[in-house]
Amino acid sequence: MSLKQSIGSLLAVGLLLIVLLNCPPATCARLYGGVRDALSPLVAFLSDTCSSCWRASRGSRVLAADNSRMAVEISRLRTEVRQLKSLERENAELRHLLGVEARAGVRLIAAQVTTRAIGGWWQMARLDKGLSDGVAHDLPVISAEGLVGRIVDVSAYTADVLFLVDPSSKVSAKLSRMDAFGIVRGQGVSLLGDPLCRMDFIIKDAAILPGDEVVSSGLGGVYPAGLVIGYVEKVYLDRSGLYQYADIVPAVDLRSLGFVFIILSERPAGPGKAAPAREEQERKRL
Amino acid sequence: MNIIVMGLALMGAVLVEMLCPVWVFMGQAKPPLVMSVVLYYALNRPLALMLGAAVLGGVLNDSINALPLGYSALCLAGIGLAARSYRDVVFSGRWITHMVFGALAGVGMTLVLYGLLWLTDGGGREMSGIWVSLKVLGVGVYSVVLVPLVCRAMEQLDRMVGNMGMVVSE
Repeated sequence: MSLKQSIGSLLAVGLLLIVLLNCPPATCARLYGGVRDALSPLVAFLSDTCSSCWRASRGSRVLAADNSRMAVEISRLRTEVRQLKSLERENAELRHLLGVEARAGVRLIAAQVTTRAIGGWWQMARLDKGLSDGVAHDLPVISAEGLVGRIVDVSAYTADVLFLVDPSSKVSAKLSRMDAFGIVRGQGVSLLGDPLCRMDFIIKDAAILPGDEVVSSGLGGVYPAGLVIGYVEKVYLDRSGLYQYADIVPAVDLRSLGFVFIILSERPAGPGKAAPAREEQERKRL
Repeated sequence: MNIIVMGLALMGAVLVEMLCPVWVFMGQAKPPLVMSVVLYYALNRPLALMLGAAVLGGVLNDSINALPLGYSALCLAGIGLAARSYRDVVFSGRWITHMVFGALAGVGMTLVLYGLLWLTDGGGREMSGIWVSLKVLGVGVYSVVLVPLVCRAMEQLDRMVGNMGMVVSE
């Protein structure tokens, strides 16, 4: 290659790099989405194949044990669902009598984790659901155990979830045993691989005990109230003496996450049967 | 044919990199396969091909790894040019050369990427020093092992499809 050609190549690449580094966010998002969506079927296939191979390598005895454990779990969950349905009916009747409107439910969508530890720089995972399934930015992601994180990037067929243990993640939280609020911040992963979180700005008079449940407070607008975040491990008084902070063990085992649920939206409350009941009570009282 | 081989190699490298599990004791480092492919082009092929591989690999890497656009391409092009300027000085084509170049490139790329993320507030500031050190070490170890292997595999592939002359045994 001649000197002229070399200089030409270097200049062309230099210009291209300048263009790439100054690309508008919308163009970047389109480009990223295009690449991810083009690769997503292949990634899903390879991810499934790897999981199948892993399961097969564990042997039939382990699979049989898993199967019987799951059968027990299913029967336990069915019993719980029956009990909860009767409680729900009772709750609805009581709400109707008291004239309180029915609480809004949530609409969930199941998604499979296709890639973990994206890039190795952040505590993130990629899911196989995207804009085409109704997924959008900042939607909360949960699993059966509790809160996983929120959606930070979405393309047509994929979405990236930022785990709550990522240092850039913050969740407004409260202790479910008492009305003590705080902010749960991610602390990354320890050298032993354990995910870490910390709850800051808890009032100093709160009597927090190890094992106390921490749930989302619903403040801030991203996470609905009542999602289990984790459990208190240790409590400390801040150096300023103005507030307490606590180490939190996340409720969800983020290392072995296979399926998650994205909270698409809160369903609107049911037709308010409560209002006429209240009016009737008022009429009787008068 | 050169471009097809390059595209397929980079695509395969990105996919394998994406699906590889990570270990905490290696700072959650991913095996630097894209960098290894670019290094192969830097050490063995013309400048234009190396720069093409750096830009294409960089864009793919950024898209898949949720990095700001252009960061990986910048790092890969820089590393490729640095490796290229020294390739005739040392014993080119030997395993040891690939291992040394690989380790230096892996460590350099991770540090530069971290620096860029730190400077532009792309999440780099949130990482502890121990974590970054582990990551640098992890990428270094991976590079020592992977770069010679990827270079050999790419060389075989290029010879097989006729992009490079066949070696005639004496």
